[in-house]
Amino acid sequence: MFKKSNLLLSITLMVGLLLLSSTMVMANESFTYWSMWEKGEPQQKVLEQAIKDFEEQFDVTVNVNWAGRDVVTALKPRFLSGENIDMTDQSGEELYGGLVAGGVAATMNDVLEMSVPNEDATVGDVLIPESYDAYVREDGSLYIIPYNFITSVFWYDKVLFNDLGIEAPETWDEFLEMSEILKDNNIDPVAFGIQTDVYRGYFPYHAAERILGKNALNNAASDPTGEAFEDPRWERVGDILYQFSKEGKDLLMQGYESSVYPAPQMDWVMGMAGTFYCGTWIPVETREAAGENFEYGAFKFPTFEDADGDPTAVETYPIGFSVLKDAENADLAKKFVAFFLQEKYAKQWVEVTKNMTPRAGVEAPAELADAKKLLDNANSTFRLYDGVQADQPEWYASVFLPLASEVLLGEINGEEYAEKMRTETIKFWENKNN
Amino acid sequence: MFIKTKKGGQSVRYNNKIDRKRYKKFILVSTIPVVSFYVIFMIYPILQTLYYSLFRWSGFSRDMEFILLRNYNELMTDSMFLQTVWNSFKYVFFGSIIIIVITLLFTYVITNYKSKKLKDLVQMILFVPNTISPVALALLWGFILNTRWGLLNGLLGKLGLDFLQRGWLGDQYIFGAALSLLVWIHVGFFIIMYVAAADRIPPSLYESAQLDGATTWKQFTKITVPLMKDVIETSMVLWTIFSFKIFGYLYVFGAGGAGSDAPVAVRNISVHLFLTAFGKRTPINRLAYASSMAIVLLILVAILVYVIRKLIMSGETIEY
Repeated sequence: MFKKSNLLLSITLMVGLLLLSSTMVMANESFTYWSMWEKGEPQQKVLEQAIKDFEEQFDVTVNVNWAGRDVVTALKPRFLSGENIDMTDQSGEELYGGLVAGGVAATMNDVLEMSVPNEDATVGDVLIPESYDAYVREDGSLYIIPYNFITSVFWYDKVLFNDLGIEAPETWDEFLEMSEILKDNNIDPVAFGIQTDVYRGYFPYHAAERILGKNALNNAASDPTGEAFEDPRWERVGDILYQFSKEGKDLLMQGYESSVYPAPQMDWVMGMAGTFYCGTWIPVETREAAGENFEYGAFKFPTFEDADGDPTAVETYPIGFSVLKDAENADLAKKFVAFFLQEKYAKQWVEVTKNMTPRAGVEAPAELADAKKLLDNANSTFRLYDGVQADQPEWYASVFLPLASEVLLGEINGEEYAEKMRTETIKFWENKNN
Repeated sequence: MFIKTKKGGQSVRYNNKIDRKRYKKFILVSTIPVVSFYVIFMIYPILQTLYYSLFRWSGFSRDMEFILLRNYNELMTDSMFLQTVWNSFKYVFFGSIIIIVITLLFTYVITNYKSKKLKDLVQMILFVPNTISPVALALLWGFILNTRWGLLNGLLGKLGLDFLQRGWLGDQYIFGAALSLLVWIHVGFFIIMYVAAADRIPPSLYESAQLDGATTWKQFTKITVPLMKDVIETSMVLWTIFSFKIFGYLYVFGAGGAGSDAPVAVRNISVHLFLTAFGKRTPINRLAYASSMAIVLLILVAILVYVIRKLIMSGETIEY
């Protein structure tokens, strides 16, 4: 008898505990976030603090995996195994080239309408439109909400330029004058390494943005007839690139044909080159090597007379959140996105990571002040590589980059560049059976 | 009761039918786990890869479109893929020549050491690169070969050999730079194999040769090398497989660890198929197309291994 009652009591207690725990689980909502940052990085620290605050304020749980830069690759098998991942983050190009092209990203337009907690504004109100404008599709859909804002510019040391009496150039002619002064002082005008894709792609697409305007490169890449490259303005793009080469006006640093990351940026901060074209992350990466007397300045890619591109335009390179289409906890994930765009986190982002925030009204770090000014003065923006890296990745890898090498090495001139862009594009699309 | 005899290989003779049946049963039962393992982890994935290669598929979702052999058609005209196939063959050909020559030379030197401790120490030092992370080694090699402040050009400058300084990571030399990295890493592994093979050769053969007045080099070329033929064959087969499947070193080398995918000039098929399947910096994400590359890789390795074995086995086998 005693044993029976004991057993009954145990069962009752177990059922009670089970019910209690399930109620607790139901009460505590959660979402899963796979991040591009790694444990210990400054960006991770700011996000981790915000997650902690979010969990406390709303009594929820955020299951974070600090997966690192290859997060999109890491997510692929998870999707196939049916595991629920609610949100991730990466650069706009990698998100659009991977998750959006793969059809697994959810639109984020509704987040723009959400209120930013503890503030009397919506996400759309606090974000600078230039930080995501270029990523709005023709049908109006947006798949990224940025929290970090990058743009690429020419960097220089203000102290050095002052010493040499150089003004930051605006036009191509001024850029060439600057290069001559630097050369006269035994300084290579531009630090560069052709073996690193990031560096190699910058000038060809920026020249195209200036001469032909936004989306010209992207449209030409998508044209299987290659006719777009018959436009004589492509020859002009090729001429500009050829001028950079050692066979042209020899603007790139000595040994650029075999220099790889991080050599060019180190050569630049060590004074072997006068300028370096790169994203706004560069002061963080080079601060220590640059030393105290190095003052970061920035100017945009030069402008050209009689060109059709917007001379004020700058590149938009956002890093942001993307919620996944089949996310079970999409609402909670989006709530966090809005939460993280509070002013206090944007300020922390700037202070701790030394990066720019896409939030309006928050100052950029001192090193990025010039770059921020260029952005503020821009009438329009364009995507990194005009979007071809994400929209036509194979064309980018097998036509755009190899021809960029050829012209920047001076192996072909402007006319040949335009012609090869045309013929290689035709060949590329003919070979595409898929 | 089993009686073993040696006649051109190992065979077994039985003295009654019951033993033979029991033996067959034993063989059958003991091979089941191995065969199952092989089928589950080798055959099934290969068949699955073959199946996926017939589709258009990014790998992000289960949406797949059957396109029969169009991926294979595309491979035949894909200049980047063909370049990586060519690179893989170059790694096999040049790599095997360089590795065999270096390994044989080291084997000659090491087998002539009188001190076993010294022998072990040298082998250990040469094997060290095998124990270090591929990423670290590839980055280190990149720094050593850096044009402006790399160790190699610096050393050449200090020695007054400035005329030999090159842009080692430029298009012209980067393949050789990658090959030298692979040779440096793997040569220690093959030296251990060769030295172990040389050590098993009966000393009596060398003693007879010495009595006949043969030099150590003559002994090495006339006794050691011919008797190591099976090991040299195995090393060539292993190197062929390595050349096609080596990943980490080539994935990182030349890319500088960031900002870039591995340059096409150094990619073998494995690296290229990974970048095609999963993207990295460039989000290509064509998992099915990459599967067709994997099938081609499998066929190429099988053919090459067969050819190498045929070429080497065509000679006489020396037993001792």
